[in-house]
Amino acid sequence: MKKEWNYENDQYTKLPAHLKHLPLFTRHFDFTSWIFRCMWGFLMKCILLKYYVKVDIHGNFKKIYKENPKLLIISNHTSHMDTTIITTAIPFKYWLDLYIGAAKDYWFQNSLFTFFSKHCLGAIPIDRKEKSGESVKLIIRLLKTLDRIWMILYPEGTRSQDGYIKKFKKGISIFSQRTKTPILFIYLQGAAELMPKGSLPKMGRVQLYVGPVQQPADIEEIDKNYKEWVTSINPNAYKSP
Amino acid sequence: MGSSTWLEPLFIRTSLVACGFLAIAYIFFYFISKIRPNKYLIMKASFISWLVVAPILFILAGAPDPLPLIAIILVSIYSSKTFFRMSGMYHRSLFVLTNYFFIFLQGYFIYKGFDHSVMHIMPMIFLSAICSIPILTDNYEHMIQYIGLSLLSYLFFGWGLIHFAMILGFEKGIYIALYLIILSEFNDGIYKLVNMEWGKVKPLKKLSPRLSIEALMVSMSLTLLVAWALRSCLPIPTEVYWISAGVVVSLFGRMGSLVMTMIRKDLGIKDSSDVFVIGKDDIIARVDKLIFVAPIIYYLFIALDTGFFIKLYS
Repeated sequence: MKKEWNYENDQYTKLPAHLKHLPLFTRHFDFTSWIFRCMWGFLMKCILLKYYVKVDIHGNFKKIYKENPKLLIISNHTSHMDTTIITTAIPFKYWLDLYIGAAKDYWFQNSLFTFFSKHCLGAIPIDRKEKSGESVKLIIRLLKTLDRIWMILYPEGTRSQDGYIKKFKKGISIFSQRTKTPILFIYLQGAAELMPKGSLPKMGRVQLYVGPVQQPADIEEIDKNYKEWVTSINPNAYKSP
Repeated sequence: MGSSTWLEPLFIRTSLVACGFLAIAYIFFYFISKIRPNKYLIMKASFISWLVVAPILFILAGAPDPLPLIAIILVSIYSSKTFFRMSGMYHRSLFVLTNYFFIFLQGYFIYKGFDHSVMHIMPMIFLSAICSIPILTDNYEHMIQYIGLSLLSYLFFGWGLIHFAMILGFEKGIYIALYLIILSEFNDGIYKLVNMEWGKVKPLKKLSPRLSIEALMVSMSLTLLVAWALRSCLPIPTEVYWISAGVVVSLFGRMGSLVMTMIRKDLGIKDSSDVFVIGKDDIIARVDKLIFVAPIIYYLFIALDTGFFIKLYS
């Protein structure tokens, strides 16, 4: 009987460069990613977000991590620092299970950004312009196949220009309902003032609130519950009608 | 730590000539790619990539010992890693780690000044080490494949490339290493350019349909010209040294590239782009031209120094 070699290299042969870091075929430990993630984590946790921008965390991720191996983390989005602030607040030992939905047209726009997004952030490229739903399929596939995954998404779709929270887009409820993944609410207060759209970060303090875990639901319900929780912290988070 | 060579006149001259040439070539391809974007965009990207890499290369090459050695070891390890990922063996940790360990061990031997003859038996020791993995793990499935691929990876990127580090031990070793890199990249650039414009006779229809005899001949001729022009980088700048360096780089550099093409095709790799190496496919696309050149030049120069060929002839 002819026995051919089985290369098991689908991860390398079937994925384009910007997706090769995602464990879609094999879940192997990537030492390069780990080193750059450590360096980035050290820079953020021990220097930038300790002395430059201070983050006060209200809540605890440890218990949530124990009870929810799969989780969609949603937050208001006002600056490029949001992702960094949230990831820094999450204990480093969870980082290799942490993924971030990032706009492909920005975070994967050239080789340097792609390298940073892949290895430092663990970003999943989301193509905001594509109509075929490949990004949605990709995220659903990851949520279904991985045993442990925490994914940060911004349901508003883009950064808020005026600092107020906008209406959520339905993507988050699609991911949650199709994969039966609960949603963790996060609210960031003060990030808009430190790094509004189009400016560099200033020194200051940010409040990060860890909220309740929402079970899969329609977008209206998620939006309503998030609004209720956020307005209990900051009544001015939403623009008054 | 040893002393750096950054301020040596020859080092400054070599780095300025190389970077100046890259800048002129980039300007040329910048304008020509505007006229014919489909054809010359890759050439332009390649020169952009070299404009980024060349200064880093020269800074590292001129750095005090053992930094150039460490850089070569890291490139060897990174190339091996890419090879293991390409061949789907990256999660076979024992084979991968054994490979890394042997590359590191060789670097350590060179750093500690061990006799270079220890390198002659390293492939055999490595083979024994990886053959012990199935015994220790009590497993036989796919072991011929894993051992074969590990051995290939080690011979190409561990044992082969580490000869660059051994060349550093020669008189003006760092200049020889730079000389070989400049020659091989120049050869590759000219080869691609001639291939695009004038390549007609293409003998390797299956393996490399684009490879043409004209490109091989022209790139070898011009590489010999550059080998002559930069001969002051060699410890003995006589004809026999620069001609042999030019010929070895032209023929065996291309052979390394072809071997890697064969491996990529057999593994079914279409897109091997790696953002770690800007403007090129991946790290292997950068080092493939050197995997045969480094050991051949090492043994050839020793043979020329010791008069081996004269003794053989007489």
